[in-house]
Amino acid sequence: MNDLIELNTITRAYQRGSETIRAVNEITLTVGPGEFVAIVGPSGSGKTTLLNLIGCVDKPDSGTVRIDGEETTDLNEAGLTSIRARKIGFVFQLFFLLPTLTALENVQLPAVFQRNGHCAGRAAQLLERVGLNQRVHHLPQELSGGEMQRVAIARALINEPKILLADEPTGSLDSHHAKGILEIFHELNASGLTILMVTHNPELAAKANRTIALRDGKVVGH
Amino acid sequence: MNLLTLSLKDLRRRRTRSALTVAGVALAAATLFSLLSFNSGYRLSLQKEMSDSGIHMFVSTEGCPMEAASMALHGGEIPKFLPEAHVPAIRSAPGVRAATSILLFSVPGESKRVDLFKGVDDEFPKLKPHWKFTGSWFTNEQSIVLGAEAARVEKRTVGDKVFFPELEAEFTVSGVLERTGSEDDGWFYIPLKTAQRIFKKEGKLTGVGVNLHNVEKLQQTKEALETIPDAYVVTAQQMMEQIMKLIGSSKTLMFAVLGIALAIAVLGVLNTVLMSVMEKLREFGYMRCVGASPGDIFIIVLTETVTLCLVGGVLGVIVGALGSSLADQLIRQVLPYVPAGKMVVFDASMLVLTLAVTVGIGALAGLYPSWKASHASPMEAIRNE
Repeated sequence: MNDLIELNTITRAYQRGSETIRAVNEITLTVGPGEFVAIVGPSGSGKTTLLNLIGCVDKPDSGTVRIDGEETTDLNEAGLTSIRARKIGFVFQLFFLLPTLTALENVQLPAVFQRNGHCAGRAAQLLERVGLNQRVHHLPQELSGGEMQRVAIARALINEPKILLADEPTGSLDSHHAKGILEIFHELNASGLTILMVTHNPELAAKANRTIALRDGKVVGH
Repeated sequence: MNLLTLSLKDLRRRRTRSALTVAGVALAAATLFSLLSFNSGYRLSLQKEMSDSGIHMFVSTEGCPMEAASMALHGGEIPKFLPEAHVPAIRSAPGVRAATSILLFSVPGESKRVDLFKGVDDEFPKLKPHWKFTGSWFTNEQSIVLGAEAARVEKRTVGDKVFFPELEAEFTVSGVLERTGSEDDGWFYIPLKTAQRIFKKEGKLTGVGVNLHNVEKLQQTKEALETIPDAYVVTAQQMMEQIMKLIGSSKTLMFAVLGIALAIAVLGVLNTVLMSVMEKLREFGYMRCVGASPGDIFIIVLTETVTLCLVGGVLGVIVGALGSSLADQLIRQVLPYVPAGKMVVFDASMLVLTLAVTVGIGALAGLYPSWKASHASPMEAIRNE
């Protein structure tokens, strides 16, 4: 089976004053369909930069990135936007829910950008799947942190992506809610979704099928 | 849900700020709507006044057409008079249907009031076929016909006596005009000979009002009348043009104020929307992460801006329409010549134009904030977490 994510000696460097920081330094790795991968490492090790490169919100200075067989390195902004919209779902530490939209409308948001705003039924199903069928019409301010993250997960799934990228998804949650989120991830993974999760939490990382450890922009352990 | 509903929902987030922006645009729109309404209404009102006067041209002694216009419509005194002896020649000129001799005088009355007297002959009613009055035209030399407003102020009706101490003359009311909504309502009409005697202008006239059989042959008649020595002929059209020129500078000033109001509205909207965009750059970055294109973000922000302005425009039109009588009164205070009747008249074209301008304000003011928002970086949004 072809790999879903293929990174070939990618490097991403930033300038900090006179110093060049290689946030990602010649990393080569692959992720197959249906994997649940935890990316771990200390602060500044390059976890989020790596996730950004995989999520097509950033481009490497060198090396190549292939997502579901599509070479993304040379794509323009429109091409990258298209890949983000069709193939990747994002879950962030701070949820990023629009405060003026209900849970249902927040879930629909990525579909709206695909000109498929008539997906309320599917959005409601996704909210039910993450256990929020009673909170469909609530605004974010009326939800707990755990509930907001569930909405964010449902939103990430609305365009039926192949990959779910989660950056510290439980970083703002207590252990009870974090456990619930991880359970959802396991269920999604069991249904075939490929998940890459950046986390500081070793307990969470241990629940993944595979762990990639980073230090100073390099992979130091699989 | 679509991009439009996203924009509209976002507007509700900062209600006070949105409301203030809308109020600013509404003020500019109300000013625009009022001035457009005035611009059209003034001309219509002037045309009506010209038409109601029944005078296609006015023959006076040589002078400026503005004086002639003012005399023909509102009354006024200049030291020159047209010899009454010219009247037969005027009446016999080609195309003349009726020519009425007119002697105008204004006399200070009680408590700063000015009484306007129009000495006219029996041809005068032919110029006013639309006139309706109770009673009759002059029955003798001491008859007087009162305009509706003059009758109201004097509290007189047909058959009553009316005494003017300043003239030391008493008249009997032979007729009272029904209200016309024009300058005609304010006059005291007395027989020409009586007026000439009272004001000691025997054989003299302020001018002669001429009504034509066929207005299209106006030029031909005008040329014929201009052969009369010392006669100065001014057509109704010329009077109107002179008046429009006279108020031109006032209009320029009003439209300059409007221009400033619109510029302030654009800057106000730009400021509000740009501030809002800067506060939400991270949100836009997140939207980019979940698949929004730069064009999507541009549309969302521009729609918000145009919606704000459109709502302001609609409110402005409503305020402008409701406040039209107030605008009418204000404008009357500042213009050098105001016709009778309503000067602020609006129609659908002004509504459309006002809304189009406010939408234009929105589009113009929204361009830069929309561009700025559309360039929000998805990576920055994530990095800042």
